[in-house]
Amino acid sequence: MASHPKLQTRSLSKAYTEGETHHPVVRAVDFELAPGETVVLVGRSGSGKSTLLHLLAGIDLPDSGEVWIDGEPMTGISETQRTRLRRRKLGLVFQFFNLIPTLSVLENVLLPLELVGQRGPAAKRAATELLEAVGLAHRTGVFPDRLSGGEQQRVALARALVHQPSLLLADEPTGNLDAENAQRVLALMRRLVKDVGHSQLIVTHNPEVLELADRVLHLVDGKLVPAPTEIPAYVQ
Amino acid sequence: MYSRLLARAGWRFYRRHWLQTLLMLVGIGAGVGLVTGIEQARQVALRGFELSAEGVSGQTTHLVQRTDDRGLPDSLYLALRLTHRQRELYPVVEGYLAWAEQPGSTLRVLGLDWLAQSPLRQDWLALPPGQPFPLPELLTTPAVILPQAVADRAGLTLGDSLTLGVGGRSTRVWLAATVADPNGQLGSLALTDIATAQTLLGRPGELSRLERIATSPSAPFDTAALARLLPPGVAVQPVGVQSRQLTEMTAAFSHNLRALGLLAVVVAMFLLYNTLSFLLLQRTPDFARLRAMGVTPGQIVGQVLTEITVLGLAGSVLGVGLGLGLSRLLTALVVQSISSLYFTTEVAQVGIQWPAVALGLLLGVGTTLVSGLLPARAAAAVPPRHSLMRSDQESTLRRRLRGLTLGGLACLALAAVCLFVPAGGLGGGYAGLLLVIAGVALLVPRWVMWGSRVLGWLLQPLPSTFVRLAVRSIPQSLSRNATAIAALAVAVAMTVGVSVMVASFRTTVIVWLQGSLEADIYANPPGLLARRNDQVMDPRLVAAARTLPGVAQVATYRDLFTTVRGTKVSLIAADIEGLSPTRYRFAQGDRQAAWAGLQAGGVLVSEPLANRHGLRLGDSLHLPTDRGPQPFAVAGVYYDYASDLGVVTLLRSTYNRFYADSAVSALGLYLAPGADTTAVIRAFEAATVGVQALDIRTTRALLTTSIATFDQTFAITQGLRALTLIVAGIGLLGALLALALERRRELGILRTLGLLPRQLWALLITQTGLMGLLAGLLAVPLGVVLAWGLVFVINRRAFGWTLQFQVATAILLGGVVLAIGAAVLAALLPAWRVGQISPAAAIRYEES
Repeated sequence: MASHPKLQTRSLSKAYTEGETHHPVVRAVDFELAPGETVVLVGRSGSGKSTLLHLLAGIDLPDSGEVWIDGEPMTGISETQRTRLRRRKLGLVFQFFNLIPTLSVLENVLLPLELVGQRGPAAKRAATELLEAVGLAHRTGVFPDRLSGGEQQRVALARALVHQPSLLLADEPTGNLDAENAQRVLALMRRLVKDVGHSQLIVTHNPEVLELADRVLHLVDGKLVPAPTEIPAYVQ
Repeated sequence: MYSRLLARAGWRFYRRHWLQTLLMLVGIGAGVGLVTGIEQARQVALRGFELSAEGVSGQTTHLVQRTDDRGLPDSLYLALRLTHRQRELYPVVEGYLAWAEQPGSTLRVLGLDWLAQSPLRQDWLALPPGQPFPLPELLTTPAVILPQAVADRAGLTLGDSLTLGVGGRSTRVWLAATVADPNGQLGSLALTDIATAQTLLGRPGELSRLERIATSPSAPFDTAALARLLPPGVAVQPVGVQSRQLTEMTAAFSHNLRALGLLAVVVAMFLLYNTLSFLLLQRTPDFARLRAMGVTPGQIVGQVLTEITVLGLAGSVLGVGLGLGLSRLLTALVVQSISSLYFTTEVAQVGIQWPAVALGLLLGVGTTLVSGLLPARAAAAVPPRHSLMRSDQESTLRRRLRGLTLGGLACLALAAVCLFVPAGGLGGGYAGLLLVIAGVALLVPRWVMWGSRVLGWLLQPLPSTFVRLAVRSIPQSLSRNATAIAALAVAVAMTVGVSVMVASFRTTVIVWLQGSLEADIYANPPGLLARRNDQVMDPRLVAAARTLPGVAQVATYRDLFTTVRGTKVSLIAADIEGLSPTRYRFAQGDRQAAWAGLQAGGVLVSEPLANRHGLRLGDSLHLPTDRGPQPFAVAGVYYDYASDLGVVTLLRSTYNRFYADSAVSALGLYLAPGADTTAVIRAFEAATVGVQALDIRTTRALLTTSIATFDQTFAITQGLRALTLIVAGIGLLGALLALALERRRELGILRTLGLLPRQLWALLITQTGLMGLLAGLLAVPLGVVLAWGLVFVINRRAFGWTLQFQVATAILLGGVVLAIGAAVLAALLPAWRVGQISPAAAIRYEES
């Protein structure tokens, strides 16, 4: 069986219109992400990184261009199909954690499994193991508002990985954490994602994240540009 | 696909927001409670007279009775049973009696022929063990049998006496036995012998009806053969027909009661929509997160609708409980109204009326679902990118403002069609009023925009920034505030509308009474019905009245029920010849022609009757008489507000030609010039001693009593109006709590800027007071339009009355004050909670 790129885009573009003015945010972006590859996407604030990530995750729609996840098109399909594809193939981590406040730590991690039809003891075992791996096995019954930022992000990471997605998309995963917690989350991302051989795309400003990267992509005014020789000022 | 975790997340949200959820449940419960309570009370009251219409035995198949409410002669029974061998017919004398030792209590007396009906004793009466059936006592003494519970309530034991009476006569009877009635099926029944019942009711030689009790369920019965044996004006009908007729009599009254309950539900719906949409809006970030994780819009809408259904059901169950409790209170008011307006009935012991419960549950769940559909759709439409924030919702509403305004105007146009086209009937009338409410509600966002702009301009000169801030923040949260203002405006408009309607009705009745009460003194035997003279006067007193010094002329009235085209109407035979016809104001026909037609043997019909049956001047109206059905020419249609059932008036001389009845129900005494009214009353009272007690009143006193009766019959309307306001108040409290919570961040920032908790409190109270003002200013014209619809459409289509329209300034001003007061009152708790906000927590609010 031929091996697909985990992520592939072709001429991906997106613009926002405000009155008569047209603001291109993502411009003809083409790139691929190979199986097991970790790509870090950097760029100034407002360069279109988050929008690009949203387009890749299918939570926003491009004006033109295409996206494939593990060989399956994310564009040109219905909202429901897109949602189903996302729930099977992707794991998402956000800067502000986005845990469901009314579900406990364990339930937050169980939710993606339940959405793909996995319930019962096996699902619970998988979720618990992952929570052990992120060092939160002792806090399974706690609700998100009782967790520190670092703990919340570790739960979010467990939640993003529990259903074995083809690709992890992380938007500023350390952006809202102090240095110690950021280190801890990065260590987990290395151990649980990179070392295991999962593919991931990380949007960041944090230079320490670059250490995870097999490849770094630079986004300038919505366009991918060749990597600069030095670490740019916006990565700090 | 059902997700247990999604469901759990949803319920935990409601648990965390328990106060808002509780208020929502109470809001649903109050609306449902009102509808269930009204329905249960109505059923209990109707059951009271159904008891008397079902026959004394479960085996009763047919009733033989007059088409009017006079009795049958004893001789008819004897002839049918003995001569024509109708052995399955049994006589019954029935009526309501006031119980002197228990003021305000009535007993339904049922006189039976215990010798002929001996089988009933076994299958119907459960006497306590060892207590023999008191047959000799019943036949030879004024003895009664009471249900054990009734006797216990009055503290009676066997052998005790009680005084019963009606129509100014009273008789002492004694308790000969009690019967067990564990389910209260017998109500306040007093069983006695026929002769005793006739004495008690003042109807010697008269039977209320004959009942055909089948010896076996399959026994054939030739009704046509029996009908041929009956004299004119007496009919044989299957059991149940009378019950249906009585139900029809109260149909318009019942519809109006239901409509009042439904209006409360409409008010609750606005508030529910507001609360639900706010609760779901608070979960927008959660929905976005779930969508990003792969939860489909369908799953979200399914989950939300499930939650709403369960909440609706829980609120409805709570409401049904409330309603059943409330029905105890309402039953007394409904029974009082029905007894004043139509016929004596009683508070029957009946179990839970499941149709009332089902109606409440259905309305509760249905209303919650309808209110939640739009918010659920909005929740499902939350895009996973989590960018739909309040500002999006506000801008969406602003974009739709034009469409909403046009929709509102379209609703008002449609409402006009419903209200002005008579073919729509009562249903069309109510639909029209609902469309008026819906139309105005759709115009509310535009009104809030304009109104707050005007308020801002008016308050501009004030030095306080906070007042300006209070005004400006109203249109800022337009989507939320407009719904709260609409709900408050509808509730207050309903109050204004009902108040204007009642005031108009009251004025019309007073003017009508002042015009029609021409005599100086009125006298009638005291009856149990407030609006009808259903008792007969002793003929000696009629004769005595004519000889009283100072009396120039005596008008007599005979008032009884008859049947016109299958419905009960009042028939009044008036001995008013020689008097002026000025008492009548005519809707059709002129006074002189009508008077002439009346003297020529025609009849006058009241406006409600003419409207119901489409009767016009010169039409022929067939009435059942003692000489068979006879046509009478309609000589005039006159305004009358005594009975919505309709009244046919004819001269006594005409009545005497067709009815073998010399009874008189009431008298009007016209005094000679210079005669002393008090002296005449005293002389007449002296003449009644030992004969029959009469209510003898001056015209002024009768007017006062009639107005008191009017107010009494509208007591339930006033009560329901107050309850609707309570529903609105609870909903408004929920909506304002939601608003305060929603503005947490903004208010937190104000706190960080240095605003004291009390200043924050004052800011919120000012803002809600201004919202109340906007609601009140809208409620007043809406209320006047609703009142117009109630007076000229609903009253006309339901009861056939033409009323004068009276809009009192006090009611309108009261509406505005009420709206402001309700808003401020409902804002007290939310404002207090806002004052407790920790600024740091509040400004972090959107990030959590």
